[in-house]
Amino acid sequence: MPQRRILPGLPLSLGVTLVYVTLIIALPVAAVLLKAMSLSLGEFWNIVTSPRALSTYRITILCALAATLFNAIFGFAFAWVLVRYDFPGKRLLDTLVDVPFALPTAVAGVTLTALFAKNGWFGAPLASIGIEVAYTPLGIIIAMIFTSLPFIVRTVQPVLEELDPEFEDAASCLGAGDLDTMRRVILPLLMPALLAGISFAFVRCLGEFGAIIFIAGNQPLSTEITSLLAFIRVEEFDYPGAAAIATVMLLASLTILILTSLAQSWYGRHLTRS
Amino acid sequence: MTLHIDSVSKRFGQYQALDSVSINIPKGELVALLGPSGSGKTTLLRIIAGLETPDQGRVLFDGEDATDVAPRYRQIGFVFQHYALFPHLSVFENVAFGLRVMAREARPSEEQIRERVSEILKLVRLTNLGERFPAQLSGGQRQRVALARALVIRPRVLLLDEPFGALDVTVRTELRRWLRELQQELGLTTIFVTHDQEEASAICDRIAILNEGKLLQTGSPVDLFTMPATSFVAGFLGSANILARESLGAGAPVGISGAKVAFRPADGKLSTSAAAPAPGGHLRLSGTIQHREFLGSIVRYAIARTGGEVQIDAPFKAGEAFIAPGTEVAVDIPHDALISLNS
Amino acid sequence: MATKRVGDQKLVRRLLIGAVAIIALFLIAAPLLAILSYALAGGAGRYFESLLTEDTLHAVKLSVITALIAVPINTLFGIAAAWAIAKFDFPGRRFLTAIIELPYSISPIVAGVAYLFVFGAQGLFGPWLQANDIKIMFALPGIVLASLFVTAPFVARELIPLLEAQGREREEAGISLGASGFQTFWRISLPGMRWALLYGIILCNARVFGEFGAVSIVSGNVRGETNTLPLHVELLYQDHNSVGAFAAASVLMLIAVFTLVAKFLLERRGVRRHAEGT
Ligand SMILES: Nc1ncnc2c1ncn2[C@@H]1O[C@H](COP(=O)(O)OP(=O)(O)OP(=O)(O)O)[C@@H](O)[C@H]1O
Ligand SMILES: [Mg+2]
Repeated sequence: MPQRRILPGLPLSLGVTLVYVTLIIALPVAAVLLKAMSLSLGEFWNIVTSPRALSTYRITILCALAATLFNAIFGFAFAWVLVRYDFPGKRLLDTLVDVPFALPTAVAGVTLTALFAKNGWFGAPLASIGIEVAYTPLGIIIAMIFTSLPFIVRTVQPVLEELDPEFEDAASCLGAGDLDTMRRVILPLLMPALLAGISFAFVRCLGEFGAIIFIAGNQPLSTEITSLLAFIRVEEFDYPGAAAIATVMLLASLTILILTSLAQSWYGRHLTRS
Repeated sequence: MTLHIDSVSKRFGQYQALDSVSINIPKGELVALLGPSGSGKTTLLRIIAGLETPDQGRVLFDGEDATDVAPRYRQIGFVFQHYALFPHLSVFENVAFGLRVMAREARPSEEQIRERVSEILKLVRLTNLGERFPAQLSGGQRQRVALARALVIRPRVLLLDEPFGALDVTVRTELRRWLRELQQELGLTTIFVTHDQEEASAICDRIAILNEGKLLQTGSPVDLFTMPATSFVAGFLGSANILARESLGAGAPVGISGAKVAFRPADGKLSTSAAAPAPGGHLRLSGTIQHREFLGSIVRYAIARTGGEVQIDAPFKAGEAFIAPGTEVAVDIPHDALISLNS
Repeated sequence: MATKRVGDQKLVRRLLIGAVAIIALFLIAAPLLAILSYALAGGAGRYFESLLTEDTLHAVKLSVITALIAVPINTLFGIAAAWAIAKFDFPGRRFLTAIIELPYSISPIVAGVAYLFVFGAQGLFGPWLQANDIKIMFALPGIVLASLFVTAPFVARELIPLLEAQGREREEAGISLGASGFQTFWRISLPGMRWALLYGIILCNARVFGEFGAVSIVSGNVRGETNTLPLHVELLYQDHNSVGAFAAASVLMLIAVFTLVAKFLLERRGVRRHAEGT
């Protein structure tokens, strides 16, 4: 609304913001795309659909789906437990949620690897029942679960806290049992938050690097993730290759981001209450 | 269905929200639960619906103890203070909810659900709004959706928690009349919570007055208005002047027995000729006009006197002059308009 | 507890709390203990010995310098961006916010690659930088720039909702009472946002110290020169120097624990609680 502005500082603050955003965020992102555009379409296509690249997409996406699915359930349960129940140690549990976020990914990576290696605290007992985690896709999934957990818990938790208990009261007066109330009332009301958390967690899984590369084994065509392939291309000074792979990753993130915000605004139109 | 509430008490921490409340409601009666904010009205409704468990006492439906029955099996229609409509469901689905969650054996077919919901929507005059979402409705429409949703399960008792609280005056008046007609048509035992005494008097068979968790008095609106038992009831149901009996001095009539005496502001007659003797059968109070409020059809005077201020409503006639503040006046109250109160 | 809500049955309650607590213990608490346990595997003496090696100390120093530069810059940027976005209406406000939040969703590897294409030898400014003998990639400036990118949203993201919720009245009151724009900002706006600001700064700082992917591309990974702490952890780990790697990791864990404690305390002060990006 074009209103006479009383507050000072718009030109300065907006100017600083625009310059900074352009230089620090937009320019580098544009540089990736520019670099990729210096390739011919055929070259680009060959790089991003090479068997090795395709295999990284497959493993990254499948592991990210598995990790996100796990966290959708576990993160939801986590938020539920923190909001709905009182029990000793709740504060501690609540603080633990943020550990994966506060702990550097590389530290998480080496630690999870050490824990799940054949001689590690968890790896040894698991190996004795024939389950290998480190250097297998399972390891990738565990690293992804670790790093993306906070996003789902922390998006669902505030919405669950705000959920009016009268919705449940109304449902039970109308004859609904717990399962019906959960399925027909609580879950749909939490869905926008849950979806936002899920999509953000998924995007983070797709792009994660530090937590995964230690535990992944990194075998081309089997346990190599896409961000590692981009990294390797850089190490090999294959900059066009790196640009093409990075472009694919960038477009994947942007697509998911846009789809999520469309879904949310579609959902939000019904839910906005006066 | 008849509803018995038998000495129900409920405590939240240190706070006694309900203190041994008992009330019987015969089938088809509309009872207004009237009381100030925080008096325990919502708590009582929630206990009837099974949403809260009483610390003591029982709730009986048709003589059967239902105190330990879970809300979902009570078949009670509850309209919440803020409606609690499911925001993610259309009006139609909100109303259909109670049918869709029925046990499989009892659940109507999709076609029957459609029929019953349409029928109810027609009853609450929302036929064309089935596809809308709650966010797209006006306050009055939401109110009627909430009512439709509660009615579709064919409730044995209808509980309405300040159903018109959030609406403006014209909509309120219209809806409350409509609600009364609907309730009588369906013959539904109903409790209606409000803190608006006018609303309560207008449509209810009986009024129950609740204050600080205690049920003070129940009775027809007329009985409560003419024969309040306590000064709280007298003051809450319409305005009243409440005086200590001894402050009346020698003029106190013989029939008055309680510690306090009350009369309605409209029952006092003002005269400026204080010298003339009081007419027979009247109590005379004298004082000076302190303050005057013009309220349309009446003029309310505040009269200062030793023994406590009183308020008198004089009918307003166009062309008649107001009595100026400072004027010495006499107030004459017929003896039969005096109400004796015990507390 | 008066009302029974969904899931309040004793069995459900116990099962859920138990399951969540156990998984959290194994997945989240165990790694923390493991870091300490592996770091101290050779006793306290070896722990301090590995911590005090020249290379590790250099990595700590480099990380601290990076944070000392990057965090204040992004703090100032965050304040400016939040001020513009929350206090004024202008076309493209939402879009600008989305761009600021972009780094949350971009892989750190992509970020690193992106900076390579701006400042690297093959990048947009590469030839010019080379001609003028300015070294950005594989040196401190590159590390700082990559850190700036990944942590650009942190402070802004904390302040925008807060400033939006506070509205403009208090500043307008200040101006109408004759305060200058700067006085109004310093005396009225800043005190009102100090806790959220601190929260943002702490999260930003944690991420600067922890950033790995982006920095590993732009730093060139030169031992004892362009190795930040997380890169150094990697290096020691690849060298099979487990005690050294976990000793260095324990420093990072210390920062993480400090971050969590500060976060906890600030949330008790009423700062909106959430994790990065949520
Ligand atoms: N779940 C609860 N926990 C603690 N105290 C409660 C709870 N529910 C109600 N109370 C207290 O009990 C008292 C009665 O509350 P109730 O909601 O029944 O009042 P009310 O008569 O409906 O008031 P209003 O007209 O404002 O709706 C209030 O003091 C309230 O604070
Ligand atoms: Mg109430």
